[in-house]
Amino acid sequence: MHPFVKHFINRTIVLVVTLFIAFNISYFLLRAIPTSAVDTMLNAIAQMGQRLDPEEFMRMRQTLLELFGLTGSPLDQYLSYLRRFFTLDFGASFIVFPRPAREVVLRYLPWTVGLLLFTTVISWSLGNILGVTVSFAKNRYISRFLENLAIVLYPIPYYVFSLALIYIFAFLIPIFTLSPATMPAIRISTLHDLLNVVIHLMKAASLPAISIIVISAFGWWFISSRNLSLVAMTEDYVIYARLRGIDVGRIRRDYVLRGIMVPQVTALALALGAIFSGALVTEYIFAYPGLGSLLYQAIIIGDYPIALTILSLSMIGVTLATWFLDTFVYYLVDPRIRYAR
Amino acid sequence: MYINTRIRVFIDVLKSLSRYGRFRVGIAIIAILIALSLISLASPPRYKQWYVYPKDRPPQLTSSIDMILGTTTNGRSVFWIMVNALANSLCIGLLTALIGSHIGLLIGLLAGISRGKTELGFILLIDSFVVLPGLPILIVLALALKQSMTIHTIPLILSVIAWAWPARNVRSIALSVMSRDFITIASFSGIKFRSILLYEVMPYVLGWHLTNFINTIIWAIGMETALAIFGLSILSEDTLGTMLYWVLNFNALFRGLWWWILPPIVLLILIFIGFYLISVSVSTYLNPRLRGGVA
Amino acid sequence: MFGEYVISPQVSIKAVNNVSIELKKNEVIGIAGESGCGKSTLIKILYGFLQPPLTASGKVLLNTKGGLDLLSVSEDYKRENIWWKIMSYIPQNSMNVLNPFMKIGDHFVELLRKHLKIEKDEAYRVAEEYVMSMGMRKDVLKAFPHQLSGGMRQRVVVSLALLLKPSIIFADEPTTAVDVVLQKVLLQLLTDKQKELGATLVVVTHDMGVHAMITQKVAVMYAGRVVEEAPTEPLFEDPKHPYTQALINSLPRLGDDRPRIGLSGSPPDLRNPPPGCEFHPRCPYAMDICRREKPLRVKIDKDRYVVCWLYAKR
Repeated sequence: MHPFVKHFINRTIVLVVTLFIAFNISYFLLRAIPTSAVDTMLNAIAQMGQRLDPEEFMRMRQTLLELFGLTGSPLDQYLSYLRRFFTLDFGASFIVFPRPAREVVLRYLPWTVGLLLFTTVISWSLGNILGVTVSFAKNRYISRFLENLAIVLYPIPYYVFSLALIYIFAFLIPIFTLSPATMPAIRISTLHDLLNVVIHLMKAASLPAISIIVISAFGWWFISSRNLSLVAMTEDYVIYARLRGIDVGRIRRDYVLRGIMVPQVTALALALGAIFSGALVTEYIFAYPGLGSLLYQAIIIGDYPIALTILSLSMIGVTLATWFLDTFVYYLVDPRIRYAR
Repeated sequence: MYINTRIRVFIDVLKSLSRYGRFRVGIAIIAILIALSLISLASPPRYKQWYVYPKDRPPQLTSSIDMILGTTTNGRSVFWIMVNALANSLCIGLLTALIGSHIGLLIGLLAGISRGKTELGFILLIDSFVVLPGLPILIVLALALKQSMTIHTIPLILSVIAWAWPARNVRSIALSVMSRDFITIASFSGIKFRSILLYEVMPYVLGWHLTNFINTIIWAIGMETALAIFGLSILSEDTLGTMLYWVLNFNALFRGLWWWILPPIVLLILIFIGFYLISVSVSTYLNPRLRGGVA
Repeated sequence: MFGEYVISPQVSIKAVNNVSIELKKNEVIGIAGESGCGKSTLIKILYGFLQPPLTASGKVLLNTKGGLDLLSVSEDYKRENIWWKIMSYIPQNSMNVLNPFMKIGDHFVELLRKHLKIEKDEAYRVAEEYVMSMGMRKDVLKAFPHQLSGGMRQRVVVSLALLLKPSIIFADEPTTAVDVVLQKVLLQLLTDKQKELGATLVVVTHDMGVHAMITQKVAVMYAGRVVEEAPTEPLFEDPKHPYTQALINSLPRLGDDRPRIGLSGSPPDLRNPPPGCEFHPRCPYAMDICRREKPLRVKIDKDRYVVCWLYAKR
């Protein structure tokens, strides 16, 4: 069998099993929640829902009871949850009742995916190039500085850094307006509309994007690529290249950078898997109209359909993204998989 | 005798660690933070109540220690909130690390020594938990368990996720140690498997367990903060996260109440950096290939 | 010349200590000794390849370049004008030194383009012809290293070393970890090409059998010093230095069934070498003076030197 076919089948089996495990984790977590919690939730909804008519309240109640497994036989519950998990169909949302939660989530999704796809790819490339370059750098001051900067940035989560950024930009250097972004209707008929959307997007996304890129490019990716290159530089094939007098630039590109690509692509796969849930808090802090802000609204009134849709979506997203990258990008990067021995 | 040599080894390790500048800075930061958090023991009981102080006062150096960092919009002393929040956050981090990283150690070791189908099962379980998004899972859990949360149960909730990274790390370390020659020789020479595990494998794993432990503290404090910002922590208690929640909730950011905003941000950043510096020094010590030196 | 591994300001290892060696054209020179005696470090210095923590002092003079000192020119200069053009290197573990992400052909093309300044297509044609002249099929160029057998990869590494017709070839343990048959083939290939080019071949190995087979001159190293230097035949017939004697006596000989006497003890810790002659703790003939003073280099015969108090005229 061609090694790629084997690789593909292996990865796909792992995909299916991981999805199944993910589903079970989510199922059993919900079952582990004490049923008394459901009453508290219902009370909370009843309290704030003066405007709810009795019929709507009953429907919400029904959804909650079903989600927490208080109706039907255990097997029914399992199967119905299985269907809901993979179709993302968790019933009507509470915040925009009676619109289905899936529909609401999908409307916010492009914003989140767009932001994270953009920032992840940018910071991955930036961090890797920087890491490899610095491990070759002759100037010790610059590399020491970048190294220490990275160590300081590495452990800080995006959202804490975002708050620091907000503080800096709102008070010290007020160049960004901090007005919450609203979702423009994506109906583009003229060039003017398009321009408006782009400008709006830039405004809303610049600060969250900066906080993600700074932390992940100069912190995470820089450190991992620098560590990997330091190890790669002691590899025999790199030393042999230096003995042959190959130009430093070539060694950097075709030997070291090429060598760290295999582990770094796996890491990228994991990072890209997080594009559905990677920066929920940051999005909320900057009032960026993505899943984070939606989730915050959902949490306030205990909107389980929305929360569960986001959970399943991010679980399925992660596994699919990892599978895709592991299968196809790996194939391109590692000739040992591409060609049979 | 045995214990004695162990202590000597431990002191030697500390000595060589303290040669790293990063380790010393990290220890200094954490020591200062712990000292700060100990002040919380002296906090006056009324600091928890709202409106016992004037609202929105900037820091005043002249009057009592209560006002040294100003007050919040709900009339509380920022200084007392801060030291208590710090103590609680550190406590959450430490408890989660105690629970989560040890579960990780156990599962990682079990995964490392098991073979065949059990091993495959362990790998899939660990990898799934590593890959699956932690925050959304914790949000759903916390959403349901909001009512019954205390400083001591949050670590339990966090541990549902926290064990996975340590387990993965411990497994790979255990595997690489067991593939080394001295283990093969030990097992050929008829030493019992249990004592091989205890005396030959464990010393290696324990070093990495320490970095896992520290990293779990960092992770747990970060996660609690994230949950709290969404309003899913114990809002009646003070943690660095809930402090940020109230900051955001009262729009302190836009009203310019910097004395309320900065303490939690600065403390969080210090916690992360302090612990991370220690963990980096330990892992550099354990993995000399990363000590570098520019070629 | 001297070579030192500076581990930290307090600790350094003097791996090569006061060594002077002359390489002549059209000659195969062997460097022998146990592992850790400084043989590899010596040829790294001769090659001018100094990578931290290794530092060197002294002079490596190159006659073909009008007495240029390799240790005082920049690495850029060596990369452009010396390495691979004048000297080439076959590293240890040569089975696993090719870039796993590059086709074999690119390894050749890379060097040809750099030094001959030719276009890619032309370089590829030159590589094809060259590979066939080395007795390999030209498909080898299209393969990735992992697709070839270990022996084939070593052959590629040897071919790479001879590609630009260098005048000096360094080979660091070229045949360790190779079975005896392949060892013979590779050494044959190397010495044939060396004769063809009229080049100098420096072979480092602990395997005295290899020295007996291909070298014309051998330098025996112990603890960073050359303890004996002699043409191969007389050295094997009548080793002078006690260490050389021990090395050669440990070789099995046809029809000789006396038990082999090995050398007891282990090489000294170079961070903290013993006073006097470094070999005295293991030497069966150690005298008082050996423990106090370093021995001097004594000329025994034409081209024969030994560093031992036993042969000093007192």
